[in-house]
Amino acid sequence: MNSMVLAFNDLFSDFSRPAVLWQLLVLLLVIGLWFPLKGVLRLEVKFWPLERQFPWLGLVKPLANETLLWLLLILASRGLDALTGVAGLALFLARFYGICLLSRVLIVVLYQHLPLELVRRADLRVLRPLLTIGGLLSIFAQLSDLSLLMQAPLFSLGGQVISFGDLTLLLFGTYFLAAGTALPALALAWITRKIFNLEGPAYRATALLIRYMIVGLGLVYILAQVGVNPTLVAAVGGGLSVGLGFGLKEVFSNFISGLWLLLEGAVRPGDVLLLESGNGEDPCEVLELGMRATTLWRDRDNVELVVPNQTFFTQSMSTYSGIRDRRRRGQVLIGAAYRHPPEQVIALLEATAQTIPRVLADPKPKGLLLRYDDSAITYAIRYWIENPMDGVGVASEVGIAVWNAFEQAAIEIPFPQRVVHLDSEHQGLGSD
Amino acid sequence: MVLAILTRVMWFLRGGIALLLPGLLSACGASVPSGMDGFGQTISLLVEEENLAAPLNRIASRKMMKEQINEFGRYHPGTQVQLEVVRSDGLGQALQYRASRGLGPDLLLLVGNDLLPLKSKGYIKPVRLSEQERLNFRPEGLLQLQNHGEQLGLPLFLYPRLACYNKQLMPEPPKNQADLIRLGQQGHAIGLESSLPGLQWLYSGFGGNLFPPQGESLNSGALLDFLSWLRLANLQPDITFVTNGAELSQGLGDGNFQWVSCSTRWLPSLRKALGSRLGLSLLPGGPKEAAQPILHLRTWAFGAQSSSHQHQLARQLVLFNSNVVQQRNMALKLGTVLPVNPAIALPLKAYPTLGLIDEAVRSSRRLNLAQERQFQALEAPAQTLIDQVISGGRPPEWAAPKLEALIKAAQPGVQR
Repeated sequence: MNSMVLAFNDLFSDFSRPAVLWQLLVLLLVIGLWFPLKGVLRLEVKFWPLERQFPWLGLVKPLANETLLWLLLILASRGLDALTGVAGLALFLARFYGICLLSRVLIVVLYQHLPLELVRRADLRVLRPLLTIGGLLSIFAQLSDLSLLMQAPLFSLGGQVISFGDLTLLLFGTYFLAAGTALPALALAWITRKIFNLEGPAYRATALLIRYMIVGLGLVYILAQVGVNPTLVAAVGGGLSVGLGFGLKEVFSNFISGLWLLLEGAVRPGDVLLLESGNGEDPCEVLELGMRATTLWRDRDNVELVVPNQTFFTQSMSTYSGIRDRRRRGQVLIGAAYRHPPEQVIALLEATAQTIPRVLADPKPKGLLLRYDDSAITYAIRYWIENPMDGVGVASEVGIAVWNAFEQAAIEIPFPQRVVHLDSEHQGLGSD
Repeated sequence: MVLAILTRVMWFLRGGIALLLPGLLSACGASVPSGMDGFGQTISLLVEEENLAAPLNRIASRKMMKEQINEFGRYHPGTQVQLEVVRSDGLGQALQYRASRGLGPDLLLLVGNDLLPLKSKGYIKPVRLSEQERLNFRPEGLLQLQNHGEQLGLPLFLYPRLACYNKQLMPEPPKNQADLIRLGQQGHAIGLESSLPGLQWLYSGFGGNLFPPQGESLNSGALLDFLSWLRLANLQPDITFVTNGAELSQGLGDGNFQWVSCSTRWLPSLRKALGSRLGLSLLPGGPKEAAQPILHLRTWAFGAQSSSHQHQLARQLVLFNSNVVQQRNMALKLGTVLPVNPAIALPLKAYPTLGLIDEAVRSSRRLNLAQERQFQALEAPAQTLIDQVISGGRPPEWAAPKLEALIKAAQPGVQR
């Protein structure tokens, strides 16, 4: 703890050095000048002369005031350096601000090319925390002895002394492993997809597996760097096992189920499932296979269903995106009057289904006479669609098209008819 | 509009100055309120370490420094010293990096006393001592570190140059330079440093002085004799010239050399390697005079970017380390250096090594700051000539006048 106190005291003592104070005062003056200046210039609102020729200028326009501040900081630091030769700290702070500004530009550019949510997550969860922590540590390193702070012992754990650096690595290293590996994993998965020609769900499963692998290896690396005693890990692991056996059984079961599902490939992100617990009609798309639960999306009402992973182990389920293909077969039932020849009706049904854009031409739609009902002959038109999530929508389109086609061909869709015969022997009794 | 801008600027600056006020007060030397221990109470000490120092010598030096800092902390509670050690070849870069940020060290502990470049680059500033404080230092030591009346540094220890030998293999060390050649002819492995600082003691034995007093001319004959001796020495298969002191120290410890010229800074590692076989003596004299090697100092210098409070703390640390008790304890504990405080009476009979070091200091030649700078400037071009003579590339008669011209270009003025 002494070295930590020494490092912080050194940091505070540095603020009493005249040359340090001069640099900070100059930076404060610049910021003080910038506040009214940005109000006067209003760069973010004004029309820029070259804005029409270079449309990309519009993208970075919201950062105009920040860019102005950065330019002022750099100019003032350079001026101080030229005058006194002592402006390293001011230059460092100005440059660091420049890096932060550059990161904002990068985010603006990424917003144009990548999904908004992905970029927003990367920005909020990774980039900003990284810049904040990196910035604080860098500023500390400029003013004091960072290695002294990092080596400062904090507490002892099972005979192992944990230093400030160890704790920092454990906390932030683990956080960035969890939060910051999504994009690298996606990039690696993209390469794998290109090499092995993976399909959508397999690609997403690969990305998740790669991410788990990076996190796992990263954790092992962090523990090795911290120098955690393997015996201690084993002891803690043993204790955890007992805990898992009782309190955390469900959580652990779900986690293992999730891993197993990924390895087996039975349920992968992008798959379309029919859950038995539902009505069996509405397919759901697997959005995310998490550590504890799987998130499904139901098209009908835009609901996200969070289903514990072990559900997929205990329930049978139907999938449209399994081993064979992702195609779904749909069917529309319709009745036609007895007077119309079945060949004519079936030909009309097949021709009509082929006019629907989302109905696949191959395999061809197939019309069938199913049964002779009381009022009509029941026919079925069966067809194939590419996206299993479109089942209800395409059925509706086919249904409408069939109605129109029957109307044009004067084919009657009869109402239910019932012929009632009265017995003549009982007519007299009735009249009496 | 302008008024509005000015109002906003003033409002912002008032806040900023309020934040910086404690620092400004401290920088101006105002007392730091209690409860803010550590704020302005920490000084940074940058310690220079020889590039090729043996690990044991390095450890001994660092251990001594840490002990002294702890000792200082005992009597100055609340004051903390941030210690950083850099090698000689990285000193300039470390200072440049820190000074460019306004974070130059408050105190430097240097291997030599080449302070003028540090002053001209604005890394160090002079220190003022009261009459009472000056009594902690030998007057000649203070004078040696003055420039135009300014006290640019203060000495911590004196490190003279000696002869180190293996008593088991060489019962009697050479008394003079002729003896040295003779021992080399007899098969005793002799090691000599080929650099100008490492050979200057040989030159002094021929009556030569790199910085003759004003009015005296350079002894041309001594230069020729010196170079001729070097040529003769290199003709002996058992006399070897090496480029740095570390090789000599290592060679004596490993048994590759039986006799070397050495610095007292190397003694901890040599003692460890040779034990009771380590013999020490004064360097052998020449045909005209006794050897007068250049005296090296371990020197304090004060950083130019400290607040006045930090400068005062740095002064306190230096004066603490130069008081009678600390200097005596350090000298006896290390046994390889001579204190700079003249009020100390060391038990020289009980500590024969210290007695020898004391004798070596008295026979050594001191260079003032200007001469030290000139000596450093002379080193590279002179080395080329010396190397050509030692290697046999050029005769001494060719090199002597060129070396003389180089030395004459340097300003005279030497203290003895």
